[in-house]
Formats: sequence, structure tokens, C-alpha cells
Amino acid sequence: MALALVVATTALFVGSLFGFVAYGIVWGLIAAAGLLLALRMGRVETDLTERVVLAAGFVASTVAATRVLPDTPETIDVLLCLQFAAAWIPVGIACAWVARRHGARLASSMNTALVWILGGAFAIPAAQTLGVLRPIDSLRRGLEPEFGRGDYAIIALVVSAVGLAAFLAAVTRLPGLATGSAVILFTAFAGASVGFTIPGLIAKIANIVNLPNFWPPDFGWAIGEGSWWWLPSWEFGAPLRANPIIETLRIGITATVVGCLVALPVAFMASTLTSPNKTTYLVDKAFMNVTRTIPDLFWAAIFVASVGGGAFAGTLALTIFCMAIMAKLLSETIDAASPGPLEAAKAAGSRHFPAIRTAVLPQVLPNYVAYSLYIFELSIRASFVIGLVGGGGIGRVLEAQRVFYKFDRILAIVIVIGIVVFILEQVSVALRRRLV
Amino acid sequence: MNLETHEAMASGALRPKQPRGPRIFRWVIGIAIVVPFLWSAAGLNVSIDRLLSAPADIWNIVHRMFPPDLSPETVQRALPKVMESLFIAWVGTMMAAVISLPLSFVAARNVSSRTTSAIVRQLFIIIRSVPEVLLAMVLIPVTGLGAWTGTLAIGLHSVGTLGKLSSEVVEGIDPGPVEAVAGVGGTKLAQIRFGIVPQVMPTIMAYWLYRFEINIRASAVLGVVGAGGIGLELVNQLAFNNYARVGTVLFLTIVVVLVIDTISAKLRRRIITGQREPGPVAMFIGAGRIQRLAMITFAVLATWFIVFMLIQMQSTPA
Repeated sequence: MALALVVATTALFVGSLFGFVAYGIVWGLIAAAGLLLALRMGRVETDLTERVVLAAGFVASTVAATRVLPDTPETIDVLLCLQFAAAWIPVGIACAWVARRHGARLASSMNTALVWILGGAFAIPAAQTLGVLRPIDSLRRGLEPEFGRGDYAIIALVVSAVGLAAFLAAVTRLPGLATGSAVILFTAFAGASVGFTIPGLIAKIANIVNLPNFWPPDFGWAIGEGSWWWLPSWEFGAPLRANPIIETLRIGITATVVGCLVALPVAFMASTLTSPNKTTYLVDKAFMNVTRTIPDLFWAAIFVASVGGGAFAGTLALTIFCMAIMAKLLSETIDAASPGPLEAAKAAGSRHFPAIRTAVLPQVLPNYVAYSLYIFELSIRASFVIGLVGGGGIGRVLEAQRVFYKFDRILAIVIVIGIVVFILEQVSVALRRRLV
Repeated sequence: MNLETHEAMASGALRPKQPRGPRIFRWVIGIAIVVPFLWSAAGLNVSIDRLLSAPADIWNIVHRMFPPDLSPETVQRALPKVMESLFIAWVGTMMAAVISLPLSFVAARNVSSRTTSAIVRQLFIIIRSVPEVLLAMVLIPVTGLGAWTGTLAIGLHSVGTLGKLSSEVVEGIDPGPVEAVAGVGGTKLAQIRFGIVPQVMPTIMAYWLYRFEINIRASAVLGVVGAGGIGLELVNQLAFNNYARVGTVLFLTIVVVLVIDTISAKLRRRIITGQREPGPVAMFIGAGRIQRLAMITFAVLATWFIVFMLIQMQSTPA
């Protein structure tokens, strides 16, 4: 079927090369011929009515598409994309009808039509991502807008690749084809919206040698001049302040210990096995979801705003961060724990909390230790960045240098951080292997 | 253990002494936790009154964030940024997936040679040890301020994590199919394609989705250093003491992340177990596994796309 898809897509591509904008009908006819050839190669029987409907749908769509996008667009905005999407409705409906007649499920048929339209909507941004289509407003002064067969062919390629894939998938029941092309297309769309263009990337990477204040990394500043290979001072240009790397590690360690301890009751309340009652369970679950959703730097920013900048705010933020992850992991482990011992303890007349302590806690303790070490790694890594919003530690130094565009110093600190994290991670992995 | 010793033990005559090893071990572990904790907590210079007044301060801020400012203009300002964060996470994950998939085979000990796999695994660890935000800071002079820098940072970091996870999956395969392909004369590439890929792909794809969930959180904070997304909005609103709008940003982030998490977790479970979960969507469609997967993906994407477009259209001046 892949070969058939290639044939049909090529037909649409070639059609758009030959029957340029003014001749949408020619394009549509070539494309329809290609699709029918593909169906024949894929051994899909079609009768005359179906062929006529498909061809008519193709011609209608291509004519509409050439009407919508006759020239270089001024800007690639949502309205244009929507119009271009609407142009592919006829062929979408035709394909859905044929697919339905071939015994595809209603959902798959609707899906086919939808995919054509989505393909139309994504095509223009995708062409922009690939760097072939440049809207007028992004052209530099003095450049003439060029809109040629190449642009159109790429757009057609994008639409047809996804639309035909979905259609052939529906007719021959190969849905992986449709999912794959949809994912690729959505990636292209998202890539366009984050400003990814292939020519731009190459130009930027080629420009790396011309950057001021970037290379080489300024290690002399970062770890202090002098005998840096023995006992580096880590003073980062400010010998009188608290040592930022040590402060970072302190934040990480404190937050891990407190966070993991606080997480114990939270996790036990968030499991159906050990929760004292339904209300506690629901409230605790909601609390866990909300705390887990907010990223670490957001917590840090909020705590800096509320309790003032410095290591205290950073520690609080990281504590919540550690607690959220630990509670999630541990509560899932508790869910999977064997209920037998707990029932036995309850049957023997134990109260709720002693029963949990003796019957469930020993079961999950090994996992708890392993998770703690894992969270220690995460917490150390996170503690290096919370200073960016005022949470204390090395991030504070980084932020100060960023404001002054001292990227060589930033590069040096980041390399140092990478080494520290690397070593700590190795230690943690070794410990985990020994303990668990 | 026969019956007599059992009875003797029960009567206390042969009761074994409690072994000393585990007790010493327990003390060592306890000290190894408590001492660093005390050292670090003492070094943070947190006075008691600051600790005691913290809950009041936090309550003060949280109180001012409610209710969040959900007026159309604020939402129109924040929602595209949230979407940008999502796009950053998606493109970054896809980038990392494409790069890490071949690398994970190279890094797996049962596929490539010992030296090569060791080198690539060390490479993964090195990439992984730098947090995304710091990578973005380093990349800013190269690719400029904006979402693209964040995408690259997320993508690079995820190559490390995804590569590690995927190569572990590849190492854990059942060697039978590979031997079968080799037995009928398949090349190395054929062994990988038909012996390994079908085994590992579901798990690896589940890991991609899992990484996407993590990357959404990571991309949300990238704006703090100017690498695109919602983070910048949060920092700005905090700087202007606009707490109602801070509430909006948090609210939108929570909603979007929770929705994506739920969908992604469902998809992951479905990819791994291959079983349908009885839900309203599944009951309505009632097709094969992958077909429904495709259908749900399209439905989600379409809904999302339409909502996004509508918002964009509203915010675009006519």
C-alpha cells in the first residue's frame, strides 16, 4: 500500500508542477488519475460512479485551492489556513463516501474527510516550516516575492500525503498510516508556530563563530583564578558572598528530606487501600494533582513573591516539588500493595493507623527508599535553576550574568553544574543499586 | 526446620539472637540522612520567626490570586502562550524521539559493540545532566530569544533521557526473534527491523508520550529565561503584583497540563496493554485498537486546533 500512496502523492505533486495556479482543473485531473492508478495498484475495486465522484471531488478541490491561494500571501494567518482547509472539503467528502461504500466504518469515513481538511489547514504553515513558502511581510526589503510551482507543489505534497494516507488507510484498513501522517503533520504545524525553519537553523548555527561573549567559556572567572586544580574556590567573582554551589546543594538536600517525609501521609491518604475515608481521599487526590501540575520554577516564583527572595523560598518551592512527585509515585505503589496483611491486622482488632504502619508500610518501604534517591537527583537538578527567579543558590549568579549578556561565564557555570550533577547522579545510582 | 526445633524455638530455648548487622546498617543510614540534613538546614539561615510567619505570607498571596482574572483579554493574552509551551514540548519531544531512536540501538549492549555502546551511554548521561533551562540559557546567544531556543533545549535534554530509557528497553528484549531472523540468514539490519523493533516499539512510544508530559512542565518554565512559553507571563505578572492574573496563568497551566496528562496516560496504557478502556469515546466508536487510537488523536487535535484558531481569530485585529 505504501507504493500506492507514493504513486498517488506523486501524481498530486506532478499535477501541481504542470498545472500551475491558473489551471486548477488540469492539476485536479492529474491528481485524480494518480489516485485511481494507486487504487488499482492496491487492488481496490472501484466502479464507474466512484471513479467519477473521486475525480470530480479532486477537481473541485484543486480549483478551490488555486482560487484561495493564487499568489504569495501577505501573511500566513489563521484565516488563510482556514480558507485553504475549506478548499479540500469536496475531495474529503468524496473520499469519505467511497470509503463508506467500501465497508469502512462510519467513524473511519468521517475521519478521512476530517483528515483532508486538517491537511489543508496545516499545509501552509508546514510549507513555511520547510522554508519554501515565505509570506510577503517576512521578506527583506529589496527582495521580490517569488511564488512558483515549487511552493505550490510542497503545499500539495503536504495535503495529499496526509489526506491520501487517511483515505487509503480507511479503504484498505491500515490505520497506522493515518496516525503516522497526522502526527508528522501536527509536528510540522507546531514547528511552524515555534518559529522553526530549516534554512534559519542552518544560518544560526553557521553564525556561532561570530558571537561575542560566547566562546571560550570563562572558567577563570567561574572557579577563581590561581590554583584552581586544587580546591577551587567556586566564588564566582564575588568572594564575600555565601558560596552558591554549596547553598544550592543545601537547598536540594533539605527539600528532599522534608519533602519525602511530608509525602508519606499525603501518599497514604491518596490510596483507596489506606485512605481513612472517601472525602479525605478525594481532597488529597485533588491537592496532589494541583501541586504536581505546577512546575518547580513556578512554585519558586510564587514563594519568592510571598516570603521574599533567597534560599528559604527556594527550599519551600523544592519541598513542594519533591513532595508532589513522591506522593504520586508512592501512592501508586500503595495501590499495588497486597491488601492481605492490612485485612488481617484489621480483623485482629487493630486501629487504622497502627494497622497501616505494621501491614502496609513495610511492603512499600523498599520502593520508598528507591524513590527518595531518585527524587534526590531530581531535586539537586532543580535546585540549580530555582535561583533564576530569586530562589537562591547558583541560579542567582546565572541570572546576574544573563542580564549582562556574559554568555561565556554562563557557559562555564553550566559546564560546572553539569559535572556536579553528573557526579551526584553516579553516586545516587550506585547507592540505589546497593540498597534496592 | 523440623517440628522439634520449631517447638524448642517457640518455648524460647533455642531463640536466636537478633542479628546485629541490620541494626548497625539502620543506624548508619539514619546518620547518613540526618547529618547532611542538619548541615544543610542550618546553612540556609532561616530564622524561626521567618519560618513561623511563612504560612501567613503564603496565604496572603494565594488569597489574592483568587478568584483568577478570567476576563477575555487576560485569557487571550495567556492562552496563546500556554499553547506555545505545548508546541515547544511537542516539537522538542518529536525531535528527541527521532534522534534518540537510532542512538538507542547503538547504545544497547546486545545490539552494538561494547565500546560503542559505552561511549553512547556516557553521551546520554552527559546530555542529561544539564537541566533544560540552563541549556536554553546557553543556546540563547546562538538561536536568539524565542520559542525555538526552548524547543532546541527541550529536544537536546530529552535525547539524553529518552535515549537511556529506550536503550534499556532494547536491552530487555526476548532474544528469540532476533535469533530466528539470524537463523534464516537475515542481515544485522533485518534482525533489528524484524526481531527487535516490533518488540520494543510500543514501550518506546509510551516513553515518548511520558516524556511529552514531562516536557510540558519543562517548557512552561522556559519563558523565565526568555525562551518562549508561559513562564515569562508568570514572571511579568508577579513583577507587577498582578496576582489575579498570576492566578489566571496558573489556572490555565494546571488545566492544560491535567488534560494532556490524562489523555496521554490513557494512550500510554492503551499502547502498552493493547486493551481498550471502556469509556464514552471507545463505546461510541467501537473499532479496532489502532483505529480508535487514530480517531481519538484526530478528535483531540481537531478540537484543539479549532479552539486555538477561534481564539487567534478573536485576538487578531480585523
